Amino acid sequence: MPTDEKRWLRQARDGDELAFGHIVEAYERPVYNLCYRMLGDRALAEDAAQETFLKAFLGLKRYDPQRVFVNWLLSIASHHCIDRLRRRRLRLVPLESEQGVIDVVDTEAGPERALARAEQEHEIRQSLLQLATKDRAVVVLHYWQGLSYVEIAETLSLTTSAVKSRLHRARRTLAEHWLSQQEEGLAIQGLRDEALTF
Amino acid sequence: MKHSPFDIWLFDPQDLHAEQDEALKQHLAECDSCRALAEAWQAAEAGMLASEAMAPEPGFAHRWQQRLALARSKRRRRQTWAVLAGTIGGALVLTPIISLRLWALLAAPGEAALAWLDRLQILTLNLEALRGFVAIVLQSLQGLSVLWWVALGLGALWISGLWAGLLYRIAFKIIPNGVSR
Repeated sequence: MPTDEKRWLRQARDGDELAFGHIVEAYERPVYNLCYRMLGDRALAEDAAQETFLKAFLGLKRYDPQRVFVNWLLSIASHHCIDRLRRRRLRLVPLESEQGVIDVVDTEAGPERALARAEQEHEIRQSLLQLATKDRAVVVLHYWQGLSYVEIAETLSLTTSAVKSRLHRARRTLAEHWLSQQEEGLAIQGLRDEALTF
Repeated sequence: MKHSPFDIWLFDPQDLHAEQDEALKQHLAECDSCRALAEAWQAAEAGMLASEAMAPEPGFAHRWQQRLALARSKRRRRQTWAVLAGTIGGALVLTPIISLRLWALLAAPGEAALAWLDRLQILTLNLEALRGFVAIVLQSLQGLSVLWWVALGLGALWISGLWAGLLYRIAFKIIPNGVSR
Protein backbone atom coordinates (compact mmCIF):
# COMPACT_ATOMS: atom_id res chain seq x y z
CA MET A 1 0.00 0.00 0.00
CA PRO A 2 1.49 3.41 -0.95
CA THR A 3 2.51 5.67 1.96
CA ASP A 4 0.13 8.46 0.92
CA GLU A 5 -2.77 6.03 0.84
CA LYS A 6 -1.91 4.77 4.33
CA ARG A 7 -1.83 8.34 5.65
CA TRP A 8 -5.11 9.29 3.95
CA LEU A 9 -6.79 6.18 5.29
CA ARG A 10 -5.55 6.86 8.82
CA GLN A 11 -6.83 10.45 8.63
CA ALA A 12 -10.11 9.37 7.03
CA ARG A 13 -10.67 6.84 9.82
CA ASP A 14 -10.57 9.81 12.20
CA GLY A 15 -13.31 11.45 10.13
CA ASP A 16 -11.18 13.61 7.81
CA GLU A 17 -13.34 14.04 4.69
CA LEU A 18 -10.62 15.83 2.74
CA ALA A 19 -8.23 12.93 3.23
CA PHE A 20 -10.88 10.55 1.95
CA GLY A 21 -11.40 12.94 -0.97
CA HIS A 22 -7.85 12.01 -2.11
CA ILE A 23 -8.85 8.34 -1.94
CA VAL A 24 -11.92 9.10 -4.05
CA GLU A 25 -9.76 10.85 -6.65
CA ALA A 26 -7.30 7.95 -6.71
CA TYR A 27 -9.91 5.21 -7.19
CA GLU A 28 -12.84 6.91 -8.90
CA ARG A 29 -11.98 5.35 -12.26
CA PRO A 30 -11.85 1.64 -11.34
CA VAL A 31 -14.95 1.96 -9.16
CA TYR A 32 -16.87 3.92 -11.80
CA ASN A 33 -15.78 1.53 -14.55
CA LEU A 34 -17.00 -1.47 -12.55
CA CYS A 35 -20.35 0.20 -11.90
CA TYR A 36 -20.69 1.21 -15.55
CA ARG A 37 -19.91 -2.28 -16.84
CA MET A 38 -22.34 -3.76 -14.31
CA LEU A 39 -25.24 -1.36 -14.86
CA GLY A 40 -24.64 -0.37 -18.49
CA ASP A 41 -25.64 3.24 -17.98
CA ARG A 42 -23.58 6.35 -17.19
CA ALA A 43 -26.04 8.03 -14.81
CA LEU A 44 -26.66 4.83 -12.86
CA ALA A 45 -22.92 4.15 -12.73
CA GLU A 46 -22.22 7.65 -11.34
CA ASP A 47 -24.84 7.16 -8.66
CA ALA A 48 -23.60 3.68 -7.73
CA ALA A 49 -19.96 4.81 -7.63
CA GLN A 50 -20.86 7.78 -5.40
CA GLU A 51 -22.81 5.46 -3.11
CA THR A 52 -19.85 3.06 -2.99
CA PHE A 53 -17.50 5.77 -1.73
CA LEU A 54 -20.11 6.95 0.74
CA LYS A 55 -20.53 3.44 2.14
CA ALA A 56 -16.76 3.02 2.27
CA PHE A 57 -16.25 6.29 4.14
CA LEU A 58 -19.01 5.60 6.65
CA GLY A 59 -17.88 2.00 7.13
CA LEU A 60 -14.13 2.64 7.11
CA LYS A 61 -13.76 1.27 10.64
CA ARG A 62 -14.82 -2.15 9.28
CA TYR A 63 -11.99 -2.16 6.72
CA ASP A 64 -9.43 -4.87 7.41
CA PRO A 65 -5.99 -3.32 6.67
CA GLN A 66 -4.68 -6.77 5.69
CA ARG A 67 -6.70 -6.47 2.47
CA VAL A 68 -5.80 -4.45 -0.62
CA PHE A 69 -7.83 -1.27 -0.23
CA VAL A 70 -8.96 -1.00 -3.85
CA ASN A 71 -10.23 -4.60 -3.73
CA TRP A 72 -12.28 -3.69 -0.67
CA LEU A 73 -13.78 -0.77 -2.59
CA LEU A 74 -14.49 -3.00 -5.60
CA SER A 75 -16.14 -5.49 -3.28
CA ILE A 76 -18.50 -2.81 -1.96
CA ALA A 77 -19.19 -1.59 -5.51
CA SER A 78 -19.89 -5.11 -6.83
CA HIS A 79 -22.26 -5.98 -4.01
CA HIS A 80 -23.97 -2.63 -4.34
CA CYS A 81 -24.55 -3.11 -8.09
CA ILE A 82 -25.69 -6.73 -7.68
CA ASP A 83 -28.12 -5.72 -4.91
CA ARG A 84 -29.34 -2.82 -6.98
CA LEU A 85 -30.01 -4.97 -10.01
CA ARG A 86 -31.73 -7.57 -7.88
CA ARG A 87 -33.77 -5.12 -5.78
CA ARG A 88 -35.06 -2.97 -8.54
CA ARG A 89 -35.42 -5.85 -10.97
CA LEU A 90 -33.74 -3.57 -13.44
CA ARG A 91 -34.33 -4.63 -17.01
CA LEU A 92 -31.21 -6.15 -18.51
CA VAL A 93 -31.17 -3.70 -21.39
CA PRO A 94 -31.57 -0.10 -20.30
CA LEU A 95 -33.64 2.26 -22.45
CA GLU A 96 -30.56 4.03 -23.77
CA SER A 97 -29.10 0.79 -25.16
CA GLU A 98 -32.45 -0.41 -26.41
CA GLN A 99 -32.73 2.59 -28.68
CA GLY A 100 -29.25 1.90 -30.00
CA VAL A 101 -27.78 5.12 -28.68
CA ILE A 102 -24.00 5.06 -28.85
CA ASP A 103 -21.96 7.22 -26.47
CA VAL A 104 -19.08 8.86 -28.28
CA VAL A 105 -16.65 8.90 -25.40
CA ASP A 106 -13.44 10.17 -26.96
CA THR A 107 -13.22 12.68 -29.78
CA GLU A 108 -9.50 13.47 -29.33
CA ALA A 109 -8.41 10.63 -31.64
CA GLY A 110 -10.51 11.95 -34.52
CA PRO A 111 -14.22 11.47 -35.25
CA GLU A 112 -13.89 8.20 -37.23
CA ARG A 113 -11.74 6.46 -34.63
CA ALA A 114 -13.91 7.82 -31.86
CA LEU A 115 -17.01 6.46 -33.56
CA ALA A 116 -15.36 3.06 -34.12
CA ARG A 117 -14.38 2.97 -30.45
CA ALA A 118 -17.85 3.99 -29.38
CA GLU A 119 -19.38 1.25 -31.54
CA GLN A 120 -17.03 -1.29 -30.01
CA GLU A 121 -17.92 -0.06 -26.51
CA HIS A 122 -21.58 -0.35 -27.42
CA GLU A 123 -21.09 -3.97 -28.53
CA ILE A 124 -19.18 -4.80 -25.34
CA ARG A 125 -21.91 -3.22 -23.23
CA GLN A 126 -24.58 -5.21 -25.06
CA SER A 127 -22.58 -8.42 -24.60
CA LEU A 128 -22.05 -7.83 -20.88
CA LEU A 129 -25.75 -7.22 -20.39
CA GLN A 130 -26.41 -10.77 -21.61
CA LEU A 131 -24.66 -12.15 -18.53
CA ALA A 132 -26.13 -12.94 -15.12
CA THR A 133 -25.20 -10.21 -12.63
CA LYS A 134 -22.58 -12.18 -10.68
CA ASP A 135 -21.06 -13.59 -13.88
CA ARG A 136 -20.82 -10.03 -15.19
CA ALA A 137 -19.05 -8.92 -12.01
CA VAL A 138 -16.58 -11.80 -12.39
CA VAL A 139 -15.85 -10.84 -16.01
CA VAL A 140 -15.36 -7.14 -15.21
CA LEU A 141 -13.11 -7.84 -12.23
CA HIS A 142 -11.04 -10.25 -14.31
CA TYR A 143 -10.73 -8.35 -17.59
CA TRP A 144 -10.76 -4.70 -16.51
CA GLN A 145 -9.38 -4.80 -13.00
CA GLY A 146 -6.97 -7.68 -13.66
CA LEU A 147 -7.89 -9.51 -10.45
CA SER A 148 -6.84 -13.13 -9.97
CA TYR A 149 -9.37 -15.92 -9.33
CA VAL A 150 -8.53 -15.82 -5.61
CA GLU A 151 -8.97 -12.05 -5.42
CA ILE A 152 -12.29 -12.22 -7.29
CA ALA A 153 -13.46 -14.96 -4.93
CA GLU A 154 -12.58 -12.77 -1.96
CA THR A 155 -14.20 -9.70 -3.52
CA LEU A 156 -17.49 -11.41 -4.38
CA SER A 157 -17.61 -13.79 -1.39
CA LEU A 158 -17.40 -16.85 -3.66
CA THR A 159 -15.17 -19.91 -3.76
CA THR A 160 -12.33 -20.03 -6.30
CA SER A 161 -13.98 -22.93 -8.12
CA ALA A 162 -17.25 -20.97 -8.32
CA VAL A 163 -15.32 -18.07 -9.88
CA LYS A 164 -13.79 -20.40 -12.47
CA SER A 165 -17.11 -21.96 -13.37
CA ARG A 166 -18.85 -18.56 -13.57
CA LEU A 167 -16.05 -17.23 -15.78
CA HIS A 168 -16.32 -20.24 -18.04
CA ARG A 169 -20.08 -19.85 -18.37
CA ALA A 170 -19.71 -16.13 -19.03
CA ARG A 171 -17.10 -16.73 -21.75
CA ARG A 172 -19.41 -19.17 -23.49
CA THR A 173 -22.34 -16.73 -23.33
CA LEU A 174 -20.16 -13.89 -24.65
CA ALA A 175 -18.88 -16.04 -27.52
CA GLU A 176 -22.38 -17.20 -28.43
CA HIS A 177 -23.67 -13.63 -28.31
CA TRP A 178 -20.77 -12.46 -30.48
CA LEU A 179 -21.47 -15.25 -32.95
CA SER A 180 -25.20 -14.44 -33.13
CA GLN A 181 -24.37 -10.75 -33.69
CA GLN A 182 -22.05 -11.70 -36.54
CA GLU A 183 -24.71 -13.93 -38.11
CA GLU A 184 -27.31 -11.19 -37.71
CA GLY A 185 -24.94 -8.71 -39.37
CA LEU A 186 -24.32 -11.11 -42.26
CA ALA A 187 -28.05 -11.71 -42.69
CA ILE A 188 -28.74 -7.96 -42.85
CA GLN A 189 -25.90 -7.53 -45.35
CA GLY A 190 -27.38 -10.36 -47.46
CA LEU A 191 -30.82 -8.72 -47.48
CA ARG A 192 -29.26 -5.39 -48.51
CA ASP A 193 -27.36 -7.06 -51.39
CA GLU A 194 -30.52 -8.84 -52.45
CA ALA A 195 -32.48 -5.58 -52.43
CA LEU A 196 -29.79 -3.87 -54.53
CA THR A 197 -29.93 -6.54 -57.24
CA PHE A 198 -33.68 -5.91 -57.80
CA MET B 1 -19.13 -35.40 -34.07
CA LYS B 2 -18.26 -35.48 -30.38
CA HIS B 3 -17.61 -31.94 -29.08
CA SER B 4 -16.96 -32.72 -25.44
CA PRO B 5 -14.56 -31.85 -23.78
CA PHE B 6 -13.29 -29.52 -26.53
CA ASP B 7 -16.21 -27.08 -26.13
CA ILE B 8 -15.08 -26.69 -22.50
CA TRP B 9 -11.35 -26.51 -23.23
CA LEU B 10 -11.62 -23.80 -25.85
CA PHE B 11 -12.61 -21.24 -23.19
CA ASP B 12 -9.68 -22.03 -20.89
CA PRO B 13 -6.79 -22.83 -23.25
CA GLN B 14 -4.17 -21.61 -20.74
CA ASP B 15 -5.08 -24.41 -18.29
CA LEU B 16 -4.45 -27.20 -20.82
CA HIS B 17 -1.55 -29.68 -20.97
CA ALA B 18 0.43 -29.99 -24.21
CA GLU B 19 -1.47 -33.14 -25.25
CA GLN B 20 -4.87 -31.57 -24.55
CA ASP B 21 -3.81 -28.46 -26.45
CA GLU B 22 -2.81 -30.57 -29.45
CA ALA B 23 -6.11 -32.51 -29.34
CA LEU B 24 -8.06 -29.24 -29.18
CA LYS B 25 -6.19 -27.84 -32.20
CA GLN B 26 -6.92 -31.01 -34.15
CA HIS B 27 -10.61 -30.88 -33.21
CA LEU B 28 -10.89 -27.21 -34.17
CA ALA B 29 -9.37 -28.00 -37.58
CA GLU B 30 -12.11 -30.59 -38.19
CA CYS B 31 -15.17 -29.10 -36.42
CA ASP B 32 -16.75 -25.98 -37.96
CA SER B 33 -19.11 -25.16 -35.07
CA CYS B 34 -16.39 -25.38 -32.39
CA ARG B 35 -14.02 -23.36 -34.57
CA ALA B 36 -16.65 -20.66 -35.06
CA LEU B 37 -17.23 -20.56 -31.30
CA ALA B 38 -13.49 -20.39 -30.59
CA GLU B 39 -13.04 -17.55 -33.09
CA ALA B 40 -16.04 -15.70 -31.66
CA TRP B 41 -14.60 -16.01 -28.17
CA GLN B 42 -11.19 -14.79 -29.34
CA ALA B 43 -12.83 -11.74 -30.96
CA ALA B 44 -14.98 -11.03 -27.90
CA GLU B 45 -11.99 -11.35 -25.55
CA ALA B 46 -9.82 -9.16 -27.79
CA GLY B 47 -12.56 -6.51 -27.70
CA MET B 48 -12.68 -6.57 -23.92
CA LEU B 49 -8.90 -6.48 -23.56
CA ALA B 50 -8.71 -3.49 -25.92
CA SER B 51 -11.48 -1.65 -24.10
CA GLU B 52 -10.23 0.98 -21.66
CA ALA B 53 -11.66 1.58 -18.20
CA MET B 54 -14.44 4.18 -18.33
CA ALA B 55 -13.88 7.37 -16.33
CA PRO B 56 -16.59 9.46 -14.65
CA GLU B 57 -17.32 13.08 -15.63
CA PRO B 58 -14.75 15.54 -14.18
CA GLY B 59 -15.43 16.76 -10.63
CA PHE B 60 -16.43 13.35 -9.28
CA ALA B 61 -14.64 13.86 -5.94
CA HIS B 62 -16.26 17.26 -5.48
CA ARG B 63 -19.71 15.78 -6.15
CA TRP B 64 -18.89 13.09 -3.59
CA GLN B 65 -18.15 15.76 -0.93
CA GLN B 66 -21.53 17.35 -1.67
CA ARG B 67 -23.26 13.98 -1.45
CA LEU B 68 -21.59 13.26 1.88
CA ALA B 69 -22.78 16.61 3.26
CA LEU B 70 -26.30 15.84 2.03
CA ALA B 71 -26.23 12.34 3.56
CA ARG B 72 -25.10 13.78 6.89
CA SER B 73 -27.81 16.41 6.93
CA LYS B 74 -30.42 13.74 6.08
CA ARG B 75 -29.08 11.58 8.90
CA ARG B 76 -29.30 14.50 11.37
CA ARG B 77 -32.87 15.21 10.24
CA ARG B 78 -33.79 11.56 10.68
CA GLN B 79 -32.26 11.53 14.17
CA THR B 80 -34.18 14.67 15.14
CA TRP B 81 -37.42 13.13 13.93
CA ALA B 82 -36.65 9.88 15.76
CA VAL B 83 -36.03 11.72 19.05
CA LEU B 84 -39.18 13.79 18.57
CA ALA B 85 -41.28 10.73 17.75
CA GLY B 86 -39.82 8.87 20.75
CA THR B 87 -40.60 11.75 23.09
CA ILE B 88 -44.16 12.13 21.82
CA GLY B 89 -44.72 8.36 21.91
CA GLY B 90 -43.33 8.15 25.46
CA ALA B 91 -45.53 11.03 26.57
CA LEU B 92 -48.59 9.38 24.99
CA VAL B 93 -47.88 6.13 26.85
CA LEU B 94 -47.01 7.74 30.19
CA THR B 95 -49.81 10.32 30.32
CA PRO B 96 -52.70 7.86 30.95
CA ILE B 97 -50.63 5.87 33.47
CA ILE B 98 -49.62 8.97 35.45
CA SER B 99 -53.16 10.35 35.19
CA LEU B 100 -54.61 7.14 36.65
CA ARG B 101 -52.10 7.22 39.52
CA LEU B 102 -52.77 10.85 40.20
CA TRP B 103 -56.50 10.21 40.11
CA ALA B 104 -56.12 7.37 42.64
CA LEU B 105 -53.96 9.58 44.88
CA LEU B 106 -56.43 12.46 44.75
CA ALA B 107 -59.46 10.20 45.25
CA ALA B 108 -58.05 8.34 48.29
CA PRO B 109 -54.76 9.86 49.48
CA GLY B 110 -54.57 7.70 52.62
CA GLU B 111 -54.84 4.38 50.75
CA ALA B 112 -52.28 5.45 48.14
CA ALA B 113 -49.79 6.42 50.87
CA LEU B 114 -50.31 3.03 52.57
CA ALA B 115 -49.71 1.18 49.29
CA TRP B 116 -46.40 3.07 48.87
CA LEU B 117 -45.39 2.23 52.41
CA ASP B 118 -46.12 -1.46 51.70
CA ARG B 119 -43.86 -1.38 48.67
CA LEU B 120 -41.08 0.28 50.63
CA GLN B 121 -41.33 -2.42 53.29
CA ILE B 122 -41.08 -5.22 50.70
CA LEU B 123 -38.02 -3.56 49.18
CA THR B 124 -36.36 -3.28 52.61
CA LEU B 125 -37.05 -6.98 53.30
CA ASN B 126 -35.56 -7.97 49.96
CA LEU B 127 -32.41 -5.96 50.61
CA GLU B 128 -32.10 -7.55 54.06
CA ALA B 129 -32.40 -11.05 52.50
CA LEU B 130 -29.70 -10.20 49.94
CA ARG B 131 -27.37 -8.94 52.67
CA GLY B 132 -27.89 -12.20 54.59
CA PHE B 133 -27.08 -14.25 51.47
CA VAL B 134 -23.85 -12.33 50.81
CA ALA B 135 -22.81 -12.72 54.45
CA ILE B 136 -23.30 -16.52 54.26
CA VAL B 137 -21.27 -16.74 51.03
CA LEU B 138 -18.41 -14.67 52.52
CA GLN B 139 -18.44 -16.78 55.70
CA SER B 140 -18.13 -19.98 53.70
CA LEU B 141 -15.20 -18.50 51.73
CA GLN B 142 -13.23 -17.56 54.89
CA GLY B 143 -11.71 -21.01 55.17
CA LEU B 144 -10.22 -20.90 51.66
CA SER B 145 -6.45 -20.83 51.10
CA VAL B 146 -4.63 -17.96 49.31
CA LEU B 147 -4.29 -20.18 46.24
CA TRP B 148 -8.07 -20.52 45.98
CA TRP B 149 -8.47 -16.76 46.29
CA VAL B 150 -5.98 -16.25 43.48
CA ALA B 151 -7.81 -18.82 41.34
CA LEU B 152 -11.17 -17.19 42.03
CA GLY B 153 -9.74 -13.75 41.25
CA LEU B 154 -8.25 -14.98 37.97
CA GLY B 155 -11.54 -16.67 37.08
CA ALA B 156 -13.43 -13.45 37.71
CA LEU B 157 -10.88 -11.53 35.62
CA TRP B 158 -11.20 -14.06 32.78
CA ILE B 159 -15.00 -13.82 32.76
CA SER B 160 -14.82 -10.00 32.82
CA GLY B 161 -12.32 -10.03 29.94
CA LEU B 162 -14.50 -12.40 27.94
CA TRP B 163 -17.52 -10.21 28.54
CA ALA B 164 -15.66 -7.03 27.53
CA GLY B 165 -14.25 -8.79 24.44
CA LEU B 166 -17.68 -9.94 23.34
CA LEU B 167 -19.07 -6.45 23.77
CA TYR B 168 -16.17 -5.05 21.70
CA ARG B 169 -16.72 -7.62 18.93
CA ILE B 170 -20.41 -6.82 18.74
CA ALA B 171 -19.79 -3.06 18.70
CA PHE B 172 -16.80 -2.95 16.30
CA LYS B 173 -17.19 -6.11 14.27
CA ILE B 174 -14.82 -6.47 11.28
CA ILE B 175 -16.65 -8.28 8.50
CA PRO B 176 -14.25 -10.55 6.57
CA ASN B 177 -14.90 -9.04 3.15
CA GLY B 178 -15.64 -5.65 4.64
CA VAL B 179 -19.14 -5.40 3.23
CA SER B 180 -22.18 -5.08 5.39
CA ARG B 181 -25.15 -6.94 3.94
